[in-house]
Amino acid sequence: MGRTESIIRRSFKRELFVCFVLVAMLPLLISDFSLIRVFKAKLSRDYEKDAMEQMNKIEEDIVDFLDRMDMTLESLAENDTILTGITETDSWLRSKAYKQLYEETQSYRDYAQFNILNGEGQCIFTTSSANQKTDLPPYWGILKVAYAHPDDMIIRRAGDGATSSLQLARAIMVDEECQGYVMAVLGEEHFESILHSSYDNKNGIAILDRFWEDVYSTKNARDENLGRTLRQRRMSGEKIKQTTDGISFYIMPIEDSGLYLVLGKDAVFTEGITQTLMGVILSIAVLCMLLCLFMTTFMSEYLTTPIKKLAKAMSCVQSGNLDVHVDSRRKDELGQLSANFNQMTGELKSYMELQVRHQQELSDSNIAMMQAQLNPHFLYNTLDTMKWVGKVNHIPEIAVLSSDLAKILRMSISEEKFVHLSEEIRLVNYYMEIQQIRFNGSFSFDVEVPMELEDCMVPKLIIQPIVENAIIHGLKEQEEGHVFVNVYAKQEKLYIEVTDNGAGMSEEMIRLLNSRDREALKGHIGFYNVATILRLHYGEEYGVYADAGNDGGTRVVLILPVDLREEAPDAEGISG
Amino acid sequence: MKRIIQRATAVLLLAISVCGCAAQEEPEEYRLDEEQKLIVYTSHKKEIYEPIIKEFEERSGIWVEIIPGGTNELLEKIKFEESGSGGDIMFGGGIDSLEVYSGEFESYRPAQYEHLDHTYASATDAYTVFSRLPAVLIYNKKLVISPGAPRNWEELLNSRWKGHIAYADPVKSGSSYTSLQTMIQVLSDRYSLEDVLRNFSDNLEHDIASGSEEAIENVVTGKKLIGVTYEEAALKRIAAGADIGVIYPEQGTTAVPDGCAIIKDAPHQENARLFVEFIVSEDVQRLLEDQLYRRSVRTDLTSAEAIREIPYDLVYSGEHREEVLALWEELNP
Repeated sequence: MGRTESIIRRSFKRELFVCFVLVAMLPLLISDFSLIRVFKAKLSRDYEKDAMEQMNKIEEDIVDFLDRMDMTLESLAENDTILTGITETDSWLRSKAYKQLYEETQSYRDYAQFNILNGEGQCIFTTSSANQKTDLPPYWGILKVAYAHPDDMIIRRAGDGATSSLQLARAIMVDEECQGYVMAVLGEEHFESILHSSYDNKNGIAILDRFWEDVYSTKNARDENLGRTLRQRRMSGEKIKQTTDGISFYIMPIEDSGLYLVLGKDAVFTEGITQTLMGVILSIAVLCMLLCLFMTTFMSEYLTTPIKKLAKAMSCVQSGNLDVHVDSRRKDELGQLSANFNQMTGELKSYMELQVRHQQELSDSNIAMMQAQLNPHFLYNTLDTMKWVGKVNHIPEIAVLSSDLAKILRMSISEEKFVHLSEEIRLVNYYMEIQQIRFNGSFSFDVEVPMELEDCMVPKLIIQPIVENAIIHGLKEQEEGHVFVNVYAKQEKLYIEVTDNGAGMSEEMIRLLNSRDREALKGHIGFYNVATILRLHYGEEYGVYADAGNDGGTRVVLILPVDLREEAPDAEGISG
Repeated sequence: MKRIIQRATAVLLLAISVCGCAAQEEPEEYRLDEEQKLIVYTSHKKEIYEPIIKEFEERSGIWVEIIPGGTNELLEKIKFEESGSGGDIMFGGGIDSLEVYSGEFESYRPAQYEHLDHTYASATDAYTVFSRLPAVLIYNKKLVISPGAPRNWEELLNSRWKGHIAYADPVKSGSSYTSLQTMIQVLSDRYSLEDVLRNFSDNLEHDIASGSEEAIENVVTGKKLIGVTYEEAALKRIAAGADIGVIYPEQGTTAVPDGCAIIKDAPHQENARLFVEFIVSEDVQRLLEDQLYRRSVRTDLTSAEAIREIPYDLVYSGEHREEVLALWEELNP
């Protein structure tokens, strides 16, 4: 089952086919089979009715005949002439009795043979043309019963293997004594005469006795061995009617005679009819299958063609071609799908175009920026010129100022983001030179860097903003101001300490600086920037911390890793 | 998908079964109860069992199933059948045969036992005797004049009849063996067993009929002058018009009866007893004598013609069966 399922599942066409077959064949088969059953039932009912009618007619004839025989036998039994004839030896009286017998039975002699037996069961008179006299023992069989029931006509089967007949007997009772018996014997030819009017020789008829032994059967019933078969079935407890029977037969008791009438008819549903019906059903089923196959092909084409088209178009889109267009004139869901696809590719295309335009604009601004970078060089050159003008005119301050500014400018506009610590310190020195000229040398500045740390790589311009803070905020209105930059390494970390001996900061200010809150640090943008740069480059454990100095003033510590590499770390990190 | 197929199948089956209900089988009205049945194994000829069983049916209302067969065949069948699964009664077979299988039978003594001849009654009531079958000699009346016909068993050894005796093979025919044993027993005072067999075989000139019917036929047609058979067979032929005479040997003859026995654990025990009662009843026994050329086993029925009867030694006959038949086959290859 699982394998079949997976085979079916693998193709839309096959799935569709299975569905079609189920939908088409199931109702067909159900209706066919129920139709056959109903048809069969109806037919056999009609058939049975037909058979029953015929049987009723036959039964009526037989019952009627037996009634008349009863009367005849009774009148014979009460006939004095015949009675005297039984015991008489005088031939004239005997022939008179014989004559009486013939007269009495005139109208029935075609239907039975009549015998008159004496009390010992010896046959005295018979109407048999062959003059066969059949003696019967009075202590046995029918005569014994007739003697025991003198008021009834007794009916018994008689037979000796090949032939069988029906015997009717009545005791002749005179003063409670049995004088003899009147008998009628119905042989095969007699039954034929009796049934002549009601028997239709298409069917087989059998008359069975109390123990279902053949009393009489028509030739076709005899050929089928009807009586024997039925008795055997009843004896062995099998079903009387069996489905394998070639004929259907109906059994009916003939009133209270103890006889049974069996009618055999050719089976309603012969093998031929069943085969024909099955053939018709089969050909309809084949036709259905073909239709299913055709419809499957058609429907799957109808459904899969637009889907295949769409799939092809989609693969075009995947490979970048947005100019594809799916043609569909259909109005159904698949048509809508195609239209939606077309709309989608259209929108995608216009979006892509927009993107390209944006990119172009971006490139344009980049170029503009690159062009704007020309200006610092001009500034730098100008400053250089100013330095020389200062020297020539012996105004050394101008020379120093412009020279230092130029160096700071150069460093700040350089592409490099990381510099050696020594360079950074040098920059701070330049800056301090400018500031000392500016503030007329009212403060001193010291730097202490161990030799081995001079090659440490640090982000550029991280010390200068802190030192600037110290000068602007810490040494404001201070006579003997001092700024001390101390660099040392401890546990793989680089510490850059900027200490001043200025006014110091309030507790609140220190807390503010350490809080990293951008809003709160408004106005302290230098401090904030440095903290941000360090954190972005090296992670949360690094940064800038402020506290009060040992002897008043403020101490700010930058903490960063000791980085002795030659090259600068990945520049991406600081782009934000 | 799998589930859909399963459901579809279920629906289909349901629909078919619903349709099927419309055409139901009609109820069985002709059902026979077990009490109405009797299964009879019989080795009798049809003309014997048919009228008797038919009459039994009519009188008792019991349906009888007849299974005919040879005596030994049926007795073997009874022996090897699982008890209670086969027949109810064994009807027919010489009592010597029935005696051998007496272990397979239910002992039953019919109510009319007092009226029956007890000569061959079963010691254990395993069987009930049914009819007596005297062994007789026959002669062709046209070819042998009555005074010249053989008078006793001894004459069968007389060379006068050499080549003229019709006799059925005792190996095949039970009645033939009985008559051979009768001959041996009657002549035992003068002839040894071997002498009887040897002389008799010589007289037959190895021309032996294969069955009782053929033996009689040979006498009727004049192929043989005299023959050895049993009374019933001879009387039946005479009644049918054959011109043969029956001789009851002077020293007397044996009339070994056949019998009837209820099979152990018979499924229809009660009916089987009714049947035994019926076959020894006056009516049946009278019919035997009147119509069936057999002799009644009832002592209260006067037989048409009394015969001089001598007892048949069942024990001797049984014990020497192998020996006699082996010798017979040796003498008549």
